[in-house]
Amino acid sequence: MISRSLSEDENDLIGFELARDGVGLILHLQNEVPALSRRQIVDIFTGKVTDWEDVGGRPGRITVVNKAEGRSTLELFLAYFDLGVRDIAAHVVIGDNQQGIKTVAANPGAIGYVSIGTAEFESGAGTPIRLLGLEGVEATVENVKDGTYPLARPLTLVIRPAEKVRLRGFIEFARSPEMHDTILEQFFVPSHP
Amino acid sequence: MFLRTPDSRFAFGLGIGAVCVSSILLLIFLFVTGEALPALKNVGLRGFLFDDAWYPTDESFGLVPMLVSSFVLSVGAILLAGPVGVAAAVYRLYYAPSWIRKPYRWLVLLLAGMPSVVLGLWGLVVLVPLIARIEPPGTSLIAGILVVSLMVAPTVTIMSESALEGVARSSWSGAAALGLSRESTLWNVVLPAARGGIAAGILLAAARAIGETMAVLMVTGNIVQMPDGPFSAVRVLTSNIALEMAYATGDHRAALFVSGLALTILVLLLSLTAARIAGLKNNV
Amino acid sequence: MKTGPYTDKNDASGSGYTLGPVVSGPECCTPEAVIAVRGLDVAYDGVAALKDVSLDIYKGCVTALIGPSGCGKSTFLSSLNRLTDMSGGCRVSGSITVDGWNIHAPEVNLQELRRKVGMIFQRPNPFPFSVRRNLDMPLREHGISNRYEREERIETALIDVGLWDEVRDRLDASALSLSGGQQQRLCIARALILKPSILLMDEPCSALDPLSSATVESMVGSLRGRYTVVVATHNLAQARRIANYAAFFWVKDRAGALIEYDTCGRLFETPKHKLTAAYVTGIAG
Repeated sequence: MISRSLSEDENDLIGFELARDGVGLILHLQNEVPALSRRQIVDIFTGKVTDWEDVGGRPGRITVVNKAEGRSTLELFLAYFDLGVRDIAAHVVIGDNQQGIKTVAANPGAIGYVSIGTAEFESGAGTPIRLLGLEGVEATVENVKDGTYPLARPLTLVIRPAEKVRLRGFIEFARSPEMHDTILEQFFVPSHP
Repeated sequence: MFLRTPDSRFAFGLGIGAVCVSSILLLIFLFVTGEALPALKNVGLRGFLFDDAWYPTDESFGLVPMLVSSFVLSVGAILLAGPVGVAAAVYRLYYAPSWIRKPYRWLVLLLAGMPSVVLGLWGLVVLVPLIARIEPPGTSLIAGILVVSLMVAPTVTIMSESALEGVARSSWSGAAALGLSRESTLWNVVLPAARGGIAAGILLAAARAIGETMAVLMVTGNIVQMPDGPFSAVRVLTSNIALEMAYATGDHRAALFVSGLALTILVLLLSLTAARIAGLKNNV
Repeated sequence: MKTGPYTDKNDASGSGYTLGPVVSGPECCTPEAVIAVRGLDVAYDGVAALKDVSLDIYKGCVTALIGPSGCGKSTFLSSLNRLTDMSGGCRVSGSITVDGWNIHAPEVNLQELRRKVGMIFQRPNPFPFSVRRNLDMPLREHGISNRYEREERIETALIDVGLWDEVRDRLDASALSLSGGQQQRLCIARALILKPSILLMDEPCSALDPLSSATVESMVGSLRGRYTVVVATHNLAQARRIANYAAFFWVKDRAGALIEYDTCGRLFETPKHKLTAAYVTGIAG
């Protein structure tokens, strides 16, 4: 199970998309910045803007929370904003979503990006973070589901070609409506109707 | 039949166990080396040492800042945890009122067994915001040093205690018969006599500090750069592996095994030195 | 008002006794008591180890404590420099005076008492440091800050115990690398270097091989006259060779007791008590 599509040099494997996951920008709950434009987000993550005051917030140093290299969230984020790995001027690098959420929750000046499903759940559970919309679209599981939210990634089941026949039943089951509840429980959005 | 007596059977069983453990260790070492080989071939030692930065997906593999960060963090943690750990051992053994001794020992053992994730979480939620008041964002070298020193201080204490308790009773009575006070006996006789065991404990703690991952990962910010002060964010070798291994492929993955190899060798050297020092103490 | 000798560090006594050479036998020492023990009881955790011991130790003489194991010889020795204080649960009652001063008086400076009353243990217990540091450290701790004075005293002490020629080239080697007999002589040097007036020795030869034992024994003999020596030993022949006085201890009613005390010659030749007679002739013990 990987949270991206297979890359070209991984042609020794076969992937089946099961669900989609949106990547949303998160801020500390106390951060009152209403919205950030694509330009502002790029400026923040490349270190051109270092104070919230410059993007319409209350004065305070910006802490850029970036994902570790190799993570598909990072690749997705970079591709979407048309950035290279070297362009990001991060203050903190984190691994998984939970760590990202904890880091932002502990720092009122932080901005990071994590899986929308997880962030929505955590903020519902009282963690002091909030999701920031992108290009006028709110970062919600609903909007990932109906495809309006632009920054999303596929969750892919990966098998060896040799096992294709043997696993056929399982793959069909994983993509069937019976699995929808399970996928939704994990805050993801099923790819197949 | 050489397995005739119960003792020889027992020895045989123990031997098998020892062979298993050491061959597993050897296999791990071989595996790590094998996995690191492609990167060593493609990138070369030169790349790991002289590349300007660590962007493995962009073919840049500079490991040196992380090596330095690992080293600085462990040294810092040992400078803090060493004296505190030894002092705690001396206090508990010779100065603490008897009703404190047992609870105090439990506390030390509890801290020694504390999962590092828990300490890391505490560091992230409590310590980092405190440091952020001095210098945001707070995730920094100093946060890592504080958390790790808290983690390894019990190791120093436990090892020091056994070293101090191992100092012969006759040294105490010898010192007393010379008219030395308790303080002077501790400083001039007991601590110097236990120095081997204490040093071994400190080196073991250093090895643990270098190998520590989760707690460090959560509080140091993990930016790959040369540390230029206590508040600068750093990434250590272990964090690097934990952060990137899950999704690394190709040369990137192999490069992570190179940092694992570097780490293994470093810890191995420290442990060997510790064993040598402890051994020297026993042989004189 | 008189002040105790152990409350004043600058007290000049301890320069050693100069009674001149002393030969074995009753007539040789001045019967001047330097230690007086009266009604001494010692108990560990409520169990009596020594009961009602009274005797005088004479100045400049070697006094041997003889008797079987567990008869309280060691306990008696360690109550003389209050090393009994070190074991929790040890209760000492009765009176002990050294040079006329009650060593249990509250104003007694314990460190100073132990500097004056040195002690040698059964097993050589040099500290696990170099030979030099073993001798240097006690001097520094007793306030000898002049390095040349310390070096001089180290040399003198090592010459006194006949060790100088053997270790002069390896003063910085670990004391634990010396042989057992050398270690024991180093321990004696370590005690002598503080210029005590009294030396307590707890079976100083019993952990040594016969040759080392003989060396240490002849050395103890050479201390006679310059120091007051109290030596516990189960080696009767040795006691006869080196001691002026001998005290015989025996277990009585499950506690150590002093059975007979006399000059060495009389105790061995014409014992008054039948237990003593049995022990010294090898019938009992």
